[in-house]
Amino acid sequence: MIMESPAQRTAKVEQEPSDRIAAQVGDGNTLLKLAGYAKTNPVVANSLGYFYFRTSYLLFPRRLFAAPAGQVINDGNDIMRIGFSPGQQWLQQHDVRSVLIFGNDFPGEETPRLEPLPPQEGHDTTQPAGTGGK
Amino acid sequence: MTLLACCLYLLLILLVGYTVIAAIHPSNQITVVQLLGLGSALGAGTMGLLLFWISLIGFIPSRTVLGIIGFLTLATLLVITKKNRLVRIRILASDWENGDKWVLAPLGLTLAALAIIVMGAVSSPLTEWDAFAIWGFKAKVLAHEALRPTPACFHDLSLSYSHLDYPLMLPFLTAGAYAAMGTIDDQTGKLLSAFLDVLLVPMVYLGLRWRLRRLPAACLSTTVALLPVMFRYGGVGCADLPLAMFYAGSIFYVAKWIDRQQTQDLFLAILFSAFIAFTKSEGAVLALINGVVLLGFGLCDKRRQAAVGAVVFFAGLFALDAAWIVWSRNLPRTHEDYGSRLLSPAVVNHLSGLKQIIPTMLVQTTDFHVWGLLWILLPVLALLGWRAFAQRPVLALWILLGLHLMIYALVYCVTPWNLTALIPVTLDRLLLHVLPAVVLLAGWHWAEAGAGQRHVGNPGLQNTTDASVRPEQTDKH
Repeated sequence: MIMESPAQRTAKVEQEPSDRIAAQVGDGNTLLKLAGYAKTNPVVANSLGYFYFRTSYLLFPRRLFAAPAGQVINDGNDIMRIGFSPGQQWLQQHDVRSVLIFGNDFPGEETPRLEPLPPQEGHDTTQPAGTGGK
Repeated sequence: MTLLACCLYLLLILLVGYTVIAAIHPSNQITVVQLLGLGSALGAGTMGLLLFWISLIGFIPSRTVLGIIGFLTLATLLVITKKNRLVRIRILASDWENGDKWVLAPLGLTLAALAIIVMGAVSSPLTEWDAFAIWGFKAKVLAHEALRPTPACFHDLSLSYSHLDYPLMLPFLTAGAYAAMGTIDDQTGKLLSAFLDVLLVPMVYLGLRWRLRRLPAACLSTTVALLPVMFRYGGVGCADLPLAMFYAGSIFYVAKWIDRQQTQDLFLAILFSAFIAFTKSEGAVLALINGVVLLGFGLCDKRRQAAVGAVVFFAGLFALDAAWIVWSRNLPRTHEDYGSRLLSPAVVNHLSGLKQIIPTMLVQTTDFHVWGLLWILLPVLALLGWRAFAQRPVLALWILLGLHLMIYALVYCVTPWNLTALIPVTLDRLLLHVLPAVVLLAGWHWAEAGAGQRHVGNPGLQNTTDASVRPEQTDKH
């Protein structure tokens, strides 16, 4: 049996939110939305970046959108700067079926948390998910 | 079951590598270390390029593709066997000297260290930032989509953090492991990553044995295996150690070619240089530097063969990496885009940064918790074995080391990131790429210092044109 080092334990704490969300997400793509302090507080940029990159990795070929395809994301600061909030049509076009909220508007709210979007009219649920962000 | 499939994939890589050796060194003998080190390294690089080319045709890595590669490899071996040109594997060396029995101690330590790295790798999924954001993500993309047509992900700027233009050796090899396993299991798949990382040690040993006796070569190799930086980056799923591993092969065979002009050394130098260019962006620069050094020594050499070798080197390098150069030319560059920045005349304006960068690099090399005493060992052994400076391969390696460090210092000069924040998190990884040159130089100077020089099969110190001297027939590992 291999003993867990302190570094491994720390890594597990960092990974837990991504692992939890990846297990919850069903079919279709997901939109990342920032709430409360996460919209502006630069302190969270690093943890936001780690969370976004790792969750994107875990979910692929489903996509986690934090920006349209033409916007550059290199780190958490970029996600905060872009503050992506697409309209209903964009969500439908990109097969977005849930919203992942990072941060909270009210104390005590779980973060990050996943909220499913209501099924859209004419939404073809048999279509495979994850066809990129163009 | 997935672990077994992944192990079979590694065996396939070894088989491919053995076939490449058989093609380059027909009718020769190789040792077990050469088979496991050189064979696996060649097999990995070849497999990565093959999977890339096959993906360009429109096929993702799959069990069928791996099966075809395995079938063609066996068919090639059959042909080689029929022509009686198969490479034989020598289990026991015949040149054991007094004191060589002590080699079991460093060997045991090395195996223990490498086992820890491998076990650590497969005990957790990808957790390193670059491992999942860049290499692991690309592996998943390549496991799902062929490169024809180009997957949308490679042009999606919102994925810019994954460095869209980075070379694809590690992602393709990982995608191959996923194909063999029949599932995307990054925890078991890290066995591939750990396999590539630990190969650095036998590759370094092979280079050391060219000059050194068995025991000192084994001791220096063990020093590498026990470096804290090996435990830090071994098996995490990043491309830095695979780059260092391929780089070890490239500089060793460049140095050997410069010394003896044996065709097989040139072929191996070309192959390993092509592999490094397809492993990381830094590798492309390092491959060109290998060629420039080869050319420089070729022009200074009176033998026509030496200069022709440089031309062949560049032709081979571009032939092997041409598909990558063409396919990747339209990929969006990240804001880093070090290639353009280094080639821009504006680089001169940033040279003042060297005042901060060079001392930081020097301090890093003396950090015992990262490098042990390795970097300090090099100047000490260079002083003790100063006569080695007169040897062309040693001189070539010093030039390679100097150019390598200079390029990295310049990269820091032009980086768009905050230098104070960037250096602490990247410098040890970048210096890891230089590790093979440092260890080989330390060993080759040590050999000249007298303590460890080989007594047999070492005609390489003179410039011989005797084509009948077959180094691989005399090299004993």
